[in-house]
Amino acid sequence: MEQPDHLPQRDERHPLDRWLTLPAILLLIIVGATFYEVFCRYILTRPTIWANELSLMLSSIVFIAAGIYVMRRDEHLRISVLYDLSPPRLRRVFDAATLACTLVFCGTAIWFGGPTAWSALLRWERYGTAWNPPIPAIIQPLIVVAAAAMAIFAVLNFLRAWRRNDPARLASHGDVDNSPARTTAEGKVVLE
Amino acid sequence: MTGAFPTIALFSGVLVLMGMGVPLAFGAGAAAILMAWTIFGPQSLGLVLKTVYGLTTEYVLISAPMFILLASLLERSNIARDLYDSLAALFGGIRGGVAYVTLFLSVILATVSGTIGGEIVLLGLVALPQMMRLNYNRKISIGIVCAGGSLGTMLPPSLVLIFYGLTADVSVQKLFTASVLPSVVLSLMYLGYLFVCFRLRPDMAPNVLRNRPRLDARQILRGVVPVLILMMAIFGCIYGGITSITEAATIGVAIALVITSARGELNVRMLREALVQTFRACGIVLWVTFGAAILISVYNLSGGQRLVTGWITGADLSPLATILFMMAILMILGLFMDWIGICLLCMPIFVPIVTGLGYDPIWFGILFSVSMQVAFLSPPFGPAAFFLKSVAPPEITLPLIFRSMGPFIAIQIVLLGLLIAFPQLALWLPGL
Amino acid sequence: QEVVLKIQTQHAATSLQGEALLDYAERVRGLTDGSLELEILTSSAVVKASESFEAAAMGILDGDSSSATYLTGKDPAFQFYADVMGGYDDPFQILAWYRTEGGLDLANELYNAHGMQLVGVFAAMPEALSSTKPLASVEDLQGWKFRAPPGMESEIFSKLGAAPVVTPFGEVFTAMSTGAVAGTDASTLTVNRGLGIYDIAKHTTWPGFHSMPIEHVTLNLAKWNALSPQHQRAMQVALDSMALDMATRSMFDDLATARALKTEGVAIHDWSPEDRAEFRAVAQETWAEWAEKSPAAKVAYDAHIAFMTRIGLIQ
Ligand code: NA
Ligand code: NA
Repeated sequence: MEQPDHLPQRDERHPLDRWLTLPAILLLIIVGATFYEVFCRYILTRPTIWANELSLMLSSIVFIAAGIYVMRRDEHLRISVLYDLSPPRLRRVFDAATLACTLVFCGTAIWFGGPTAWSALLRWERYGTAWNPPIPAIIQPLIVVAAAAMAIFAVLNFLRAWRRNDPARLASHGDVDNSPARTTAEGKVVLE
Repeated sequence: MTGAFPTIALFSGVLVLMGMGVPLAFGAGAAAILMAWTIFGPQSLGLVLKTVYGLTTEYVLISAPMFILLASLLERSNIARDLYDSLAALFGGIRGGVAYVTLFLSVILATVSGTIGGEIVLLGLVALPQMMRLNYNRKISIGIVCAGGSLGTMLPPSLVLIFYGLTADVSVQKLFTASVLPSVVLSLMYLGYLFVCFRLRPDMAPNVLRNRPRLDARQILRGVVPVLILMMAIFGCIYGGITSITEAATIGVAIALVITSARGELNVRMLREALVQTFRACGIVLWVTFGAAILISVYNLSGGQRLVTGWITGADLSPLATILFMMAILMILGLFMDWIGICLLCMPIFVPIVTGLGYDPIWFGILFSVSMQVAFLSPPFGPAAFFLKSVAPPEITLPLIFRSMGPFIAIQIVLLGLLIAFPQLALWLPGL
Repeated sequence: QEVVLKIQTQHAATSLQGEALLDYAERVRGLTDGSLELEILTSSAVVKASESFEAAAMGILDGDSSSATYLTGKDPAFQFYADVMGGYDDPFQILAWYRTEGGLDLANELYNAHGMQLVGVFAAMPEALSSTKPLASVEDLQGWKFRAPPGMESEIFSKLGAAPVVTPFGEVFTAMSTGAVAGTDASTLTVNRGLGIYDIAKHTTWPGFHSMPIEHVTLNLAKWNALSPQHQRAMQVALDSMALDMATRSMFDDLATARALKTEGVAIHDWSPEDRAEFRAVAQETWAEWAEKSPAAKVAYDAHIAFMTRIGLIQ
């Protein structure tokens, strides 16, 4: 079966991925809830008050949690043409810039968003709709937690890239491109 | 602090960071945060949490993962492969037949899809691997998937047109009618381009399938019928008045689950893989959107809205030149911004000027939706490319995707020119 | 020296409310000799509409002009400062409640507790319901499937036998033309016509009765307190005069629109006093339920009921 598996093979069984991808199951619950809602509305002409709001809450959780997983895999979208063409020393500079930006982003979300998120959680703030789910009370703290997790993975990604771009190691091995995490095929394609 | 300086500093900062290979989400976000800190002080930085929170709780966004999940399921179940085999059997005798089939499919899918994303992911999972397997030229294949996949935001039920209608206070129904003919023309121009390419450069399309399989009834049953059922179900949900567009995507997933289990292909592993793939695509695309949204928030906070107004009212141009100038602004913003942001930022300013000049706002809405087609494909923020990249194999890189867009962007610009030269192209149908 | 305040609204610059707010900024500039500048950020330019109040409280923005309807998750009492559904007949009554009946001070007890100052409010005429089917009386609401925002409105209409559907407003046009919903709640007669709703829905209820959203202008409390008394007063006076103009304009616009719609073949259903009373009775029940949701809600409810009884809207 030559069907391409687009999930990269590397780190396929990383112990954390099992947990980090768990929220994907929520997508199935959204499907179920929506199906039930359409059934109730169209067949019974009695729509539910909760299906839409539940879907909204669950999809927010999916969107936020997915960011952590993608960060763990170091797959947030980037344009790495110049990176791949650069010598290892310069790559380390670029990696440092990436880490700095990520920490600024996540740090701001935590430091300046934390108090708001915390008070929404303490007051168990609700969405103000018919079913009134605690969307603000759950999602805002979740964003803060996600930012913290992403910051940690960003540091780990940086350390891995730092080791990979060690000029001494590269000189002895002579391979710039076969290292696991950071290497994309971008550079090769440019040179094709 | 209004003026060109914050704008230039902000966007050049983002470009430099992007060049260094900083992930787009964090490059855009960090540049915006530094700018906000400098101009407005630390108090303004709660913006990051508020923007991310505001976007994740946007109800219309639910349809994106659902269309992606649908695409993943179809791809994993081999339905798509069977469909392609059937179509290849039908059209394999024509040079470039599968490329035409992809374009045809994208137009059909466009009538059931309202957002960017799902359609591109579906074509990216279903059509792209097949075209690559059949040795089609890579750039042509990528281009047709992205350009064709963006058509969903031009043909009804297009959220771009709905949003424009609401922002500009014009009839959405008329916009829908007006968009049909230009969409057909655009598709025909894509078709013409493919035809000319394959004629001039026969190596771009592989040789006609020699031992192409004969189409038998069983193959039709396995390949064509499931997709037909699915399309009719989604079509029926939207146009039969059963569900909203957002819900239709979800119903599509439910039906796909039924079909795959009827085909005996549904199992825990396959479902898990499809879910994880969707999850990953969501993470990749959504976080870029978050970063871009924070950038735009800070841009607007520093007077971006007033800046654009100033440009237009200060330029003192002829009516036609004003329209061209607006198109140029839309294109430039389209390099960086999401269509919702552009619509909200520009339309309240543009539409009164356009109507004041005596032009029809319906026509301008079609111009807007075509220029957003360009925005979807154009680097560095090209959502079409991001969606494709989120499901494409690693050798399909972002720069390769963007380089494949060129001819298709050119065609879209030609359509813009046609619409400006012949407004009847858009206004004839709604005028009937 | 010149003070600049950034105030966000979800309304577009070209909409009724957006234009009114830009006009408001102009009036404030005039009253203060240009020493107080309100920068109106239209179309939710910075944060999503539902987040702008809190964004102002956090200091991201200086002020927010949206509606308290986004705040009912913080305290259900905000519903009584957002829309007393089925209550008042025209914007002049609600303006009176805020300006001369102590509503503004009452509201500010609640707003201040959330770190914000309510400068004042404005409102257009009550909204018109639009439908693809006749909607001449309470009976026609039986089984009527329509798009409505969740909350008090859905509750009232459900009690009257209608089936409110929560759908993003952007999808209403497709949903109405395919029959997924038979109607929608949107805005005033004039705004609805501008949106193109009557291209699809050929029936409407007018004069409106079910909903009259209150638009508020708020400022971060610390920033309000930092303003000079002259600037504070200018903001209030300019808002009051703008609100009066907007209410008047909205009233006459609707009269003109109603005339135009008749020639365009749209059926305008003017509900009988009996039907209106029946609607209001059910609405009253629902207000009473909401009044129990928080102490502040009870206070606001009592104040509205006292005023409505005094002017004869309810018995
Ligand atoms: Na479409
Ligand atoms: Na773009």
